[in-house]
Amino acid sequence: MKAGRLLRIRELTLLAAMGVFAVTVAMADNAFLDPENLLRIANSSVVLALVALGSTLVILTRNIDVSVGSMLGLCAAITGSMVTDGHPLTVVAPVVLLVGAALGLVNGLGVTVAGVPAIVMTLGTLGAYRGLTYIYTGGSSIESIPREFKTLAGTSLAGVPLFVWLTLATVAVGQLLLSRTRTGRHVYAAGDNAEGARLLGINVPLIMTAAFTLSGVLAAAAAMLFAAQIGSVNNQSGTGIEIRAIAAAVIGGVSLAGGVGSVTGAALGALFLTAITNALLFLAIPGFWSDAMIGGILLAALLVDARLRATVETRRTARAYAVGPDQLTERPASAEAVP
Amino acid sequence: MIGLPVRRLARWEVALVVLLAGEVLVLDRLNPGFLDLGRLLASSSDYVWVGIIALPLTLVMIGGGIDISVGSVVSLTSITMGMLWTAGLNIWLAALCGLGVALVAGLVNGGLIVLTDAQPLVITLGTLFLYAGVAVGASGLLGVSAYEGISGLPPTFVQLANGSLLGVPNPLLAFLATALLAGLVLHTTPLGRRTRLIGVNPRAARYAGINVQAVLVSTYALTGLGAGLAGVLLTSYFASARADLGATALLPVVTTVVIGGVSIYGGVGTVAGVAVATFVIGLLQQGLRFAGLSNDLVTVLVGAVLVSAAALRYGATRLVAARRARRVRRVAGVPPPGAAARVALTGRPEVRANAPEEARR
Repeated sequence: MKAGRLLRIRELTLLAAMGVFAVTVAMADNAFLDPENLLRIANSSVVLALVALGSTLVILTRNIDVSVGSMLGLCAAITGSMVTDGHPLTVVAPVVLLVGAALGLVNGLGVTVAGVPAIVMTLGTLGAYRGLTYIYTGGSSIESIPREFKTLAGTSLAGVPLFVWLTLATVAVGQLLLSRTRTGRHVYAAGDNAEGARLLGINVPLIMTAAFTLSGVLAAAAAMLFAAQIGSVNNQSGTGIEIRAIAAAVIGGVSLAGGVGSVTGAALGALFLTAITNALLFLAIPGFWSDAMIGGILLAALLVDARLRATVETRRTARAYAVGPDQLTERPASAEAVP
Repeated sequence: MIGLPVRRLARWEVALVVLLAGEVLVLDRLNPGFLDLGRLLASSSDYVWVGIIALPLTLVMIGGGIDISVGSVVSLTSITMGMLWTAGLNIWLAALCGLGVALVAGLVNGGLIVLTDAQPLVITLGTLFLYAGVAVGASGLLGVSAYEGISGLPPTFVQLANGSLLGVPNPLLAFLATALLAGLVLHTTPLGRRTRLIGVNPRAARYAGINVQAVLVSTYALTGLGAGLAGVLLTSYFASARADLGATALLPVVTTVVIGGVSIYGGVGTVAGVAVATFVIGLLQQGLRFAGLSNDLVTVLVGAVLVSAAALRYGATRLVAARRARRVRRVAGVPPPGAAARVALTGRPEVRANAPEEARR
């Protein structure tokens, strides 16, 4: 209940921060708030949003997946070469999603069966999958993606790009599954307290493996959108997106300590990161400052978050001991210090 | 019982040395002439910088933290040097300033971590962006192309990483000095002992009256300094200051620390292991390339090696712990405990298996 309220606050704070940000940028140049530009931001955030969705699933189970960029790269290369060879989308999409699932499954099994810490496992596959991409493409980039595939990126439904609809639908389904189904709650339980979840009869390794596998599937889905939007795939496609995806999740209120956060938050985080890069144009700041901006905003969010958490914690302790917050001599080191 | 973990650790380091020896023999068989001392020495400059960052990072990770911003600090150091030199400062002074910036970057990492109580991974994720972004931004301000960097550095400075002393290349000397220093700090000083205790049990460390915050900040500062030194050496080695110099440093550095036997959960690890691991990975990459494998295949193989080594290490720990737990239960005549005493230190299933290991320390 407590966590639930905090969670809602997290997403609301992010929305408020995005509002303040948008108004600030609009004061410099109100073209930023043109519906056309807002749609452009949404459209260019879809790849990051889908990847962040997968990363969030994994992070919720108290693991981490830094191989998503390499999975995206490999899947984009496969997409590119398959559509170039003239395969219809009905063949390409299942194949690519299956490849993504397989890549994610390898991560999941490495973590749950072999017992390799997630960051080590996925750092290993980050390198390995990138290497496979080079081998698959033979080092050359795929430029001749057919026009009919690329036009998908420009297709709109009711004025909103098709890809935005697809992403919205995925986020909505993910949100519903995570918050309204038994399995979804098991994901949170496994991440919050693996041992406790096990004692409740939850198959924690299965949940974790599924999360890694879905992360691969979502990276594969993002790869197809990427190939259609960019229109070419090279060996570097997707590098560094894993870090952006984690940043999006963290800004969206997902805790790397597991069990806290939502895919909606992560998607909003992805939207915010994209908006920051886009806003630089309107603020007449050279694009090469975008990483510094993202880092600064991420750190600021963490500082504010820590301050908020400390306040909440002090209040809670004070209530537990029935004293005023000012009567506590020391704030508890962490939540578990509270009896 | 108390001797056991030490013996087990010793075995990991021994295993690494055996692995290194076997690897060198195989590589020598694959490409005759690989085992040429002069060639091995000369080529060490290609990879020892990884160790120069990995060694101080070992301290951070033994303390239960992690720093993923090291690559960005390398870039920041390099571009700071380049900018100051372009502005007319003596190159050595510029290098010193670069090191200073790296130290500050490390202090900021540590400071933010103890200030916010947030996970080190998240904080250094933020600074990873921030430092790399500032480096790219600064080089953009100067109008330097990201791919060419600032070149034309003075020959005396370029000589720093390309020269040698008594046949030993300078970067290797820097690596040895770093290893010696890191070894002394970790294994003989109060700072090292405190870091390890914090990694094992932060609360116990706090109750023992240790200034946890100061210790943690010091380890991050040292890591910043290590990344700075690597940045200066790489700038000299490539004779150009670039904003993306450290962009790909993270993977090899963390791989080295993990293969070196440092636990990602803190508390476990030695400097010797990480020092040996630097060569295990460096020589593997070089040998495979020397044997005619493409760079891409080498990346795949190195990734596979990282994963299998980690699986071996963590899998073995799990098995040992499970067997021990069974024995303890048998001796004590206790039925298999449903509720393991250790509920989720890290919230992962193998924690249960690790718990006896903790109890032994």
